[in-house]
Amino acid sequence: MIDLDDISFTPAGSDEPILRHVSLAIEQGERVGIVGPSGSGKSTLGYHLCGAHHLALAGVTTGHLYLDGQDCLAGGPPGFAGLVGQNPEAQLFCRTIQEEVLLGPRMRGENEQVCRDRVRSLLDRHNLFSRAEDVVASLSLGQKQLTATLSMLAIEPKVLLLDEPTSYLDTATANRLFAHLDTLSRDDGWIVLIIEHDLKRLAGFADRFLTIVDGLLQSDGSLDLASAASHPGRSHPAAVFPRPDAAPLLTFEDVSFHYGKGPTALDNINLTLRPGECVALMGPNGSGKSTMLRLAKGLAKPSSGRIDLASGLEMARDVGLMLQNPEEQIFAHTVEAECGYWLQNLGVPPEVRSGRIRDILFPLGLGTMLTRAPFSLSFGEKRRLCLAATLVADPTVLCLDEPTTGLDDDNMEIMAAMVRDRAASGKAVLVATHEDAFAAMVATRIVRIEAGRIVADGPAVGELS
Amino acid sequence: MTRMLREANALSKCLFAVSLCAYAFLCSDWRVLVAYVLLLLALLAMTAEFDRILLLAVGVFFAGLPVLLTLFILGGIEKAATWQDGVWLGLTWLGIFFLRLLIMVLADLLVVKLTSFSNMILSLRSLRLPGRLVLFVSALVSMLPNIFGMALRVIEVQRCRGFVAKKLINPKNFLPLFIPVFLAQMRRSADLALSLELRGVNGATYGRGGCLHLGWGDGVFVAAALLLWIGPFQWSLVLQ
Repeated sequence: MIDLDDISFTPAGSDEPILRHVSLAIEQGERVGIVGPSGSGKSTLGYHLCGAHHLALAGVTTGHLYLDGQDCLAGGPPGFAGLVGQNPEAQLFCRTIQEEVLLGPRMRGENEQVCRDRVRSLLDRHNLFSRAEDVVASLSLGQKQLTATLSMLAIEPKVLLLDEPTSYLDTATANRLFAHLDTLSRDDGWIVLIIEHDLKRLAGFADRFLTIVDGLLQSDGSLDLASAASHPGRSHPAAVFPRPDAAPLLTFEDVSFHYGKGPTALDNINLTLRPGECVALMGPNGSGKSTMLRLAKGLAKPSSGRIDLASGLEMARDVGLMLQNPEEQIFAHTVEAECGYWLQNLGVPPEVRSGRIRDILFPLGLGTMLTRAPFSLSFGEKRRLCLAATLVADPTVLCLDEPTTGLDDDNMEIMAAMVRDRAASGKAVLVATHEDAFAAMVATRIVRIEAGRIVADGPAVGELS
Repeated sequence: MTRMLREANALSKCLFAVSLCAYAFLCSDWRVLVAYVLLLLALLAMTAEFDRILLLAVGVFFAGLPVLLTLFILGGIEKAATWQDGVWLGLTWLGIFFLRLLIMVLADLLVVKLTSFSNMILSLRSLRLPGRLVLFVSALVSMLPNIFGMALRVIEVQRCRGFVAKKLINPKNFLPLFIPVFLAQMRRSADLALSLELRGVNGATYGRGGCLHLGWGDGVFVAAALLLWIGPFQWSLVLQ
């Protein structure tokens, strides 16, 4: 079905190929994981495997590429491939979930009722049918990622490429998606190509792994399961110092919230956060985790109830919030300027600012990059920079929204160490995450939320076990 | 009724909107114009789509009124013998012009609110326009709402780091808002184009996606567009 022979790709404006002499063949029904370090050429290989290289990449491809028996060096045939990239939000075009998923089948001119039946079945399978008419802009990032994936499943391609498909999904939704992909691969012969940093999850799905290093296909076969099993979360238990008798730093008291005239996003939330505590908010996509963080920072006001900080604290000054997407924050010409933006807004003198920026960037491994353009950093480095830009003002309450999205194990460990240090220094941390391993590494308490309600609240050890 | 109108072809809706706007700019009878404004408001109320975008569009429209008022009053004073007559003349002109503009804005909003992006793309494809053009128009129409949504998110992110609106008095403080929005839009346009091409929007049709489908809603819109110019409605133009 897919046959690559000595494929190399050189991006426009460069003499160095970023994909070198790759030869391989993939048969119908295969489930292939593409792994390798950041920037090694995984996505470039993926685009070639599904024939979307002429659409997604600017540069020159040499060698021979056959898809479904056709010479496709200039591009794959229409309808051959589906693709969901790392930023699923950018792929969404329509107003509602149903309209988005319907778009592909309708473009093919299929019977309207057939299209609707297929979309209904897809949405039903992934628990989105009751939300079919929901406005896409109002969804959580996880729900947007699922919608983007379903919009590609709906066109029934022969090859499906998913780049970090579970980065924003909760565990149950991710499991459901992988079970569906498994069925499509086994029963309908789809080729499923997955680029994923969660090697454990990938090991349970893919039957073949392509390892790319510096643009070269280093190995093609099974995965070294020993490396996949060595997740840092297991070897670094949380080392925090909660002070149960101390006065709360942050209190949610009977808090309810809804967006505009929409349904209730939070319903009667009661939560206290004390010095030294790190509370992990966990729950399905769209359950209200990010909304709680926004309320804690004062970006929105509760519809009812109240949110209190300890005496003398202000939300604007003493609550730090790192949101999910670093691309929506970075604007400055240097790492130093980006990191110091909050201090600048607080009126901290430049000489004091400079010292504090260095103090915070060095432990995060960014100390040698002070004058670098932040746009040139890798995704993991950008996440660390965003964390630094929040920590630099020394907030008493630190809120983190899915801080591990898109991070490899090393970056996750760095992030976890910083959070633990924070709690150890007597501050409080509230982190929304769907990553059990990260919660195990940092949390003293796990609060589970479903449909805007707290359904469980207990010590991390008991909850995670 | 609303569903029937919503499912009508985007071309029929555009024909109705263009016809109504042209009619409004030819008709000088304020009673007829007021009647059409009320009709459009009723139709908009039926769609029950009063969101932020709609309120923003109406807000911007009314925010521009003081400038129009000044221009029309100055124009009236120039034409009339006395300044009092000039002010009255200017206000009379402004009244008619205001109603015409309002009809145009409401008709546009009605078309936007009753037309989904996918219906619009299907309609454009049915005109046999080049695939790249359909893709370009598709990306273009979704750009404004996306920039608006992205800007709101970026403001929120920067508020977390002490950004306050009053700092915008200094133009350099726009950078923390402008640069992330601009770069995100650049990235988004590439990702969106890829996604739409893979879903067959670029016109490389491999099915019957280019066929024109018409329904009862189309009949209503086309009939309304034509009725403005023939039959009992024509008298208001003839009487002028």
